[in-house]
Parts: sequence; C-alpha cells; structure tokens
Amino acid sequence: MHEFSVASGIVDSVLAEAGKHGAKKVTKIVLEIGQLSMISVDQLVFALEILIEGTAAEGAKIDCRILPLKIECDKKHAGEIIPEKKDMYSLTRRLKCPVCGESAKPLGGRECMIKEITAE
Amino acid sequence: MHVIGMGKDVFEINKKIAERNRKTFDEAGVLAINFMGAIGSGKTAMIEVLHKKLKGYRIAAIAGDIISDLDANRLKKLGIPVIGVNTGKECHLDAHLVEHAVDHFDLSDVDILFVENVGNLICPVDFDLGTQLNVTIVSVSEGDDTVEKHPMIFVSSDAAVINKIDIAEAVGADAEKMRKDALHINSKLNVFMTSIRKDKGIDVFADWIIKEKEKRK
Repeated sequence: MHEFSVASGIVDSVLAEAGKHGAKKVTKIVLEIGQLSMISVDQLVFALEILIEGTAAEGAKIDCRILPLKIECDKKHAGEIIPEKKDMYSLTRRLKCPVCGESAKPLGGRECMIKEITAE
Repeated sequence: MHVIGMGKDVFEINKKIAERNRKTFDEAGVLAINFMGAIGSGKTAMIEVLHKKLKGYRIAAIAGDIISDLDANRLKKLGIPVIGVNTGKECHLDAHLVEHAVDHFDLSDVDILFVENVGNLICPVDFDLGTQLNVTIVSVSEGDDTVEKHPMIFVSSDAAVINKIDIAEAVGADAEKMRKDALHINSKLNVFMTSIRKDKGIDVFADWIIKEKEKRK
C-alpha cells in the first residue's frame, strides 16, 4: 500500500506546476499508469481526492489512463499487449511474444506519469 | 482554461537516486544485493547464514523494518556494520532511504552489502534501490501458490530462493511446483532450493553470490 505516498508526490508536483503557470485552479489531472505498476488505481484516486481537498486542485477531475504494455522477446520482436482483464495473473501469463510465442520481457510498464493538467 | 503538459514520472526521483546508488556501489567495488520476501520468509536468517558461508568477504547490511530495530540488532550480533532503516508507515525501502543508509558506511571496507527490504511481496517491486542484484526469498510455509500469486516480484528478480524446503511435506507444500512457477514467470531466474536449519542448498546459493561478486572485479 504505497498509493498514499505516490498520491502525495502527484499533488505536490501538480500544485507546483500550476503555481509556475500562475493558475488559480486545477480542474483536471490526467495520469498514465503502466500495467505492471503495482499501484491500485482505485486506491490512488481515493488518496488523491482526499489530498486535493483544500488546495487549488480541490474538485479536479482525475483521469487515470492505463497504458498498453510494450514487450520485446529474445529475438527482438516487439509488440503491445492489451489484456482483456486487468489482473496481474492473466497479464504475466501473456508475457509471450505475439510474433514467435517465445517468452518476452516488458519494456517499461511501470510508469506512473502525470501526463497533463487543465488549469484556469 | 488551458492544458499544461507535464509528462512527469512520479517514480523519476527514485529512479535517479537508484542509478546514483548503483554507480556508487560499482565504483566502490561493492556488490549490493536487495533481499525481498514476505514476513517470516527467512531474509534475516539467510543473511546470518550467508555471513558464515562467505568467509573472506567483508559483509555489511542495511536492515529495513517498519518500526522496530529487531532485525538490525540480530545482524549486529554478527559483528558486521549494520544500519537499521525504519520506513514508518511505508511497506518498502526506496532508493532515497538506501542512499542515506549507505552514507553511514565506509564502502572501502565492504565487499558485499545485503539490503534487507521490508517484508512484502508487492510494493518493493515499484522501487529500484540501485542494488546490482535483486533476490526474492519465499518459504514453502507461505503456500506453494505464493510464487504464481506474486509474479511481478519474480519478473524483477535475478534470483529466487525457495526456503524452508525441509518442512514442505509438513505444511503440505510442493516446493518443486514453486520452482517451476518461478521459472515459468522468468526463465532467466536463478532458482535455489534451501533449508537454513538443515544447511541444504545454502552453499550453492553462496557460490552464486561469490561468482556474481568476482564477475564485477
């Protein structure tokens, strides 16, 4: 359970960026989360909603997007996996090269990015 | 109203510090090993027994715990330099905590640094510490489905240690299944089957550590 500390880092960065642009209010925060990140999106959004209370970002819409997983196999074939289910079990079972079926390694997938914010 | 592009990775600071730690270890000729595993899997006991096996190597340890200094005190009894790190509410060590702990060592007196992470199979995965090796210890008493239930930590590990194999039958666990699951998740994983109490498989694991250490000379 490290969603709260991650959320705290996000709020600090968002408020600093908004301040840099002279914005008075943040109305939307767009996040991109890698599928192999161990962050629980529901818990992250819950923590963010609590942490933005009383700040310039209070009430901002939080848009959490899950990034497709890019993979590469030993033969250097590259591909993307978008699992039908979000759970980790189905995901790791599918870490196989879409071209040759060999086991593949993820290229990234651990991202937790603040893509953009909307401010006024 | 305007959109401000940020493209900021929340884990970026941790990654940067981890790279810095890795450089520090490489330059000092120290092999740093992150020991991850659940509570009671045998992380502290493994460091204790490896200290005996790795004779001729100067060992140091960082012991991560939520609040107590019990593990740090256990390791101090080995007569090695130990820094205890309390994470407070956090369920994992991060690169920043390790960097601060490393400040307390004279790395020119260290050959192998064991970093004992907080007992957890989930959260440490997101936090690279900058150690050159990551090892996950899992005991048969956690259930023989533990490996397949926590795939990501094995994806991020260089070695998996299936520990307490002497009691596998008593707890109804199939240690071989755990080994196969680990290799199924990560075919490049070095898997060791150990029992600290019966001194089984520890020499093989210690030899692997020595090989990794010598490779970096």
